[in-house]
Amino acid sequence: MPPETAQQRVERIVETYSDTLLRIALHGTQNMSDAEDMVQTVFLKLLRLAPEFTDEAHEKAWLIRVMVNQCHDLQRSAARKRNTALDESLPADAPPEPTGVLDAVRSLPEKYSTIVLLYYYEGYTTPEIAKLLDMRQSTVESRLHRARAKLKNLLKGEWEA
Amino acid sequence: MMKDDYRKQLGQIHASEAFKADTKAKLLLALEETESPAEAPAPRLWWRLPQVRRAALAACTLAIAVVGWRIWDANSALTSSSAMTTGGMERSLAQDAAPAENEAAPENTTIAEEERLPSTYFAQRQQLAYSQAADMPAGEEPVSPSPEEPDAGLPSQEEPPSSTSLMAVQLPDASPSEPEKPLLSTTSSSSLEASTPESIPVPGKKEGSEAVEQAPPEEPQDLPIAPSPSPDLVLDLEEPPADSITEEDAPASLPVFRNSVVRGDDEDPGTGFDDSALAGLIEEQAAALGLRVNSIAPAEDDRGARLLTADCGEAEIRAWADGAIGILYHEAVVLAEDGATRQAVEDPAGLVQAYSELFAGMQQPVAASVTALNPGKEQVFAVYVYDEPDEDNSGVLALEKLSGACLMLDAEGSLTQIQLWRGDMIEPLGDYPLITVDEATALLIAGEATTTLPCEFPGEESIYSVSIEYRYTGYEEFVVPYYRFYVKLDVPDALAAELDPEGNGHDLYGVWAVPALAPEYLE
Repeated sequence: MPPETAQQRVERIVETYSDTLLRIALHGTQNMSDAEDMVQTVFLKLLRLAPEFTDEAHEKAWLIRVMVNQCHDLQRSAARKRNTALDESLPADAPPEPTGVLDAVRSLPEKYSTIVLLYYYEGYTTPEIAKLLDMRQSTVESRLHRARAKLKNLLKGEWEA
Repeated sequence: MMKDDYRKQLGQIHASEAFKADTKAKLLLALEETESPAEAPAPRLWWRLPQVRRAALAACTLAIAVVGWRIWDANSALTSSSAMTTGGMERSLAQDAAPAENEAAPENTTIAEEERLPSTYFAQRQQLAYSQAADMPAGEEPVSPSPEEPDAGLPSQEEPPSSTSLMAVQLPDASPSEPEKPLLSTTSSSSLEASTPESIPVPGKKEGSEAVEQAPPEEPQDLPIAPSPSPDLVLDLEEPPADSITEEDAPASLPVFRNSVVRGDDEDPGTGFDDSALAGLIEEQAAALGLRVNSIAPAEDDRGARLLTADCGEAEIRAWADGAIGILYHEAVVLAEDGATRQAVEDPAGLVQAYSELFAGMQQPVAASVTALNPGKEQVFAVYVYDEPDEDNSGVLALEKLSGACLMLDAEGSLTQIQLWRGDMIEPLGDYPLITVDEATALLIAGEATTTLPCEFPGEESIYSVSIEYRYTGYEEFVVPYYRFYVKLDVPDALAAELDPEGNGHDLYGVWAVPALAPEYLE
């Protein structure tokens, strides 16, 4: 990775990865405000921990992984606090709520929806996802398969494998 | 097409410029507050992440495995009893799942033992449990072998739960606001004195050894809430159980339930369906499966619980007094002719649909989880089916999860067994205060915990995760929550070989359970 000033780095990572991380975050939470907070938290971790990356793909993988972990934490926390009131705040410039297939994917358990996103949107292969998420490839494939099955069910068979 | 739509819709999600600007400002501010961010020490956390995640992932897998062991255990019991051995199935109300499935219960045998002793498995495990309990330090829970799956079925008109309504009126709602009021004094429904506040007897609160001898009905307080028969050993937790909790997240109170149909045993006839009603249940399930009942005969399981067994030609149907049903196919039923029967495993929704008549009592049966059992050997699969709980009522509070079914599939995905249990005759008694995670941990350290593992609790530092579950095997009158501790085991090689006979280098996790009710409510 070429040397860069702190400001350059901030500029670059925010411009480069915000969309990707926001999309992942929105698969872990239904709340745009929470998703944005999660993105900022991940960026902060990146700057504070300052890991060394071999290239941008490495950097992106790290960010995705940290974001996925954030989603896990949020899910677990939510599971423990089922009686907590929902945060309904939404920023004024929040994008319109997607409907249809995206909602279906987001309605899946996070462990499935994230893999669907990484596979179908980010274009990672299952071995890459396995490496990215530090899990067995068979686990990724299994989850992907189950996610497809669930989506087929949710979308009345319209999600082809 | 849908995938394209997905990509298109997802591609429309962008971080707003305002958000980006705000983020940049915050990040730059954070950098300014840090002396030399660029020279920040090499992130140890980062380098640890792989291990951390690995451990976390391992934990979750194990949570699933745990549920699997329970089913496998029940499966073993069901399969084993030529003379009606009942396998116990503990129902964890924890997620499950995440689908979790959410959840495993105490066990007293190793995997190897279970496999080696198919026909006498349950009896031997029971004996082992008893002998282990006898060796337990004071305070450990005696392990009671559990029976089978409780099940599905319809309430019997002839034998409505006797004291149910009375209990509902007099004992409901021992809310946290009135914690000084203990619950119940005895374990047997017939002896319940609704007007007499008493505590719930829980094995974990008793001295293990004496408590266990034959689950004496004379000392009902010793074994009312029997630890489940499922294994306390878990291999390779891939991820932490989805329902893991912390001191901060633990609920302050949870409902306690009373089971108005109890199977009974050698000395207690139990309460529940009479033979006529059980025969009706058998006929009903046989009809749902297209089976013809050739004959019905009374029998009893290893604990002496009464049941009926029906010869249906290609299958045998067993029905217990609590309405639990077990259907054992003599030859596995091939679910698809194309050889791709694994599809049933991969797509359990289709399986649920195919057997929908079995789940007629459920409003929305869903395959909550598919668990691969028997790791390292020929795998079998357990498809857990539950009534879809409301989103707000999922997890540990989901009473619906006390009703459910399990379809056992062999390695090819062919159906070998069906187990049905019901929770509709389990009524809530009200919310009861719980001890905290820290208090439960202290009890665990003090030996006030149940496990069937042949090893000592290794120490607080080995605790991997904690969750809450209900334990219910069909024999308990009271269904109470337990803290379930997953503990990383560091056992001698010989014991490791016994616990993990395949020697695949699995990480071993043990389960210790501590009753979660506040002590004043426990006998």
